[in-house]
Amino acid sequence: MKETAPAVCLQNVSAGYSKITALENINLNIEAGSFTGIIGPNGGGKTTLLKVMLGLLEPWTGQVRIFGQDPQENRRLVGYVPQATNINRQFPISVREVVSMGRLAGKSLFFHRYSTIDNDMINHCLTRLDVLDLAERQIGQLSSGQWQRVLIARALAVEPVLLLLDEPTSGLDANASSMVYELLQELNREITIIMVTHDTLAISAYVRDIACINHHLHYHGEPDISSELIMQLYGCPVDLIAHGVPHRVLEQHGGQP
Amino acid sequence: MISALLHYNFLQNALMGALLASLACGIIGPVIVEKRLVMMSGGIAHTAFGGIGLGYYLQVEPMYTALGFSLFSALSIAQIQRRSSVMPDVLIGMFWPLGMALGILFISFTPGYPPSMSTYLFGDILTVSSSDLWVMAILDAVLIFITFSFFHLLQAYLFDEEFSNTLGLPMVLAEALTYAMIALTVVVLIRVVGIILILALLCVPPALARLFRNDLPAIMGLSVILGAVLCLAGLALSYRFNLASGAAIVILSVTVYSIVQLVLRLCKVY
Ligand SMILES: Nc1ncnc2c1ncn2[C@@H]1O[C@H](COP(=O)(O)OP(=O)(O)O)[C@@H](O)[C@H]1O
Ligand SMILES: [Mg+2]
Repeated sequence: MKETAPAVCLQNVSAGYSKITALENINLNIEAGSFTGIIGPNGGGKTTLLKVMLGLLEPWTGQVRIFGQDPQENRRLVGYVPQATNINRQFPISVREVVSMGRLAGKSLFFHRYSTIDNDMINHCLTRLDVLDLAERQIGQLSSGQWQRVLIARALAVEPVLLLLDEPTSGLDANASSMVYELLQELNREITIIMVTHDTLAISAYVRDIACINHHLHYHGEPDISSELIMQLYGCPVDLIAHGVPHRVLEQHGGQP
Repeated sequence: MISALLHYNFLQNALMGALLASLACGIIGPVIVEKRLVMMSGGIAHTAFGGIGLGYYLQVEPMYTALGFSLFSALSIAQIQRRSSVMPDVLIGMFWPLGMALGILFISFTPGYPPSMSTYLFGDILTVSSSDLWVMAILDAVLIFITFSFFHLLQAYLFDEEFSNTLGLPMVLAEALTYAMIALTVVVLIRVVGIILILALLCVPPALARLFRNDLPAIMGLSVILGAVLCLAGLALSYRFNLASGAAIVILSVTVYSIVQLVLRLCKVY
């Protein structure tokens, strides 16, 4: 039943931090099952948009619905992959412990122990992201690609139906990036994915919809963005055009349900 | 010193005090260091002085009023920080001296000769009484219980508050527990190193431990051991050379840390 409601529905949402307005009057519907890329300039409000969807930030005005419900009610449906650089990697914690965190939602935490089901799920996620052999390592001793995969594994341990990722490939080389995208594409068969990205490769080859955010929502639809829009969004024709995004053959995905 | 230990009750108390203190600072020290709450803890420690002044004024055991006072301040500070936009540094810069000022005020209101505050400011492990030891032991037990029973919650809070919030984990509870534990630790440590010197005992053992281990429980365990060694060695120095015990422990701790860092660096170079 929940699946019939849009995965994300924002109506007239404005949000920000004390005096800074980051988002203004956003109306956005993201269908369940979609793979949406959020693009926009630095400081445009992309991370803020994810925070609003996660219920981490109360919007000033407007309404946020995740599968038709308040984000606070729906926490266990949503997996979050924060920007990898936001986390202190000196912290004394192992890969396995980080991924295990994903299993804590909705549990009684007084004398908490992970159940067999939890441990199976944790191993499953570690395996799926190909970090099982790194499980006992301290997180500072990983490459950025491995660390990124650990964060995705943690989000998947929640068993989400909606996955929100904040720049999951920044700082990764082309190979590692493609690996992440291939995985996301595979995951997208089962779950809805919303990903903030600057990567034109992702936009041209993997993402099915894009939303352009700079304070306002400038565009939401198929990634057939005109150079005019890019100008409006970034203020200059950046590498989106240089990489030939407009040439993308949209018909490839035309038959998607 | 060994034979003196068998003969003198005050030395036995000092020994027990040192061990109980290292237990508290070994458990909470890593929490404080990893969550970057070192200065915050310094501030909470100094609010305890207000409690000690209040104890003298009300003619009750200062350890108890210090406990109440620092618990109350720690939880209030956590609340204020959560609800207002005041910068943590600025907040610390205010309640740190405020606690001290209240202490001075209460003492000046106390009739009779002003008591000597140096035991509380700089610690005096050689005057720890058995009732002090009981308070310390009970507070240690509470600290151990909280850390054990809420370990996963505390770990989630310390490591990644934002992600924990997306899971709906009770971060307000975790924060309150953490701040309350800092307050309890301060009271455990007051008699040993004193308010002013507490920070060194909170920082040095975990800072040393994290050079050698990189999981939280191991860092806590190693911190307890290192804290005990430093406290006992400091106590021995203080007894042997008739030095102020708090000062001996602090100077020894910082010296050991510096030497270890230096040795590690030399090992890396050669
Ligand atoms: N915690 C914060 N406090 C105050 N302002 C913030 C905070 N986080 C972001 N901002 C501001 O909000 C705006 C949008 O930021 P953000 O959503 O992080 O942009 P993006 O992710 O697109 O780079 C920026 O102007 C930024 O400076
Ligand atoms: Mg961002």
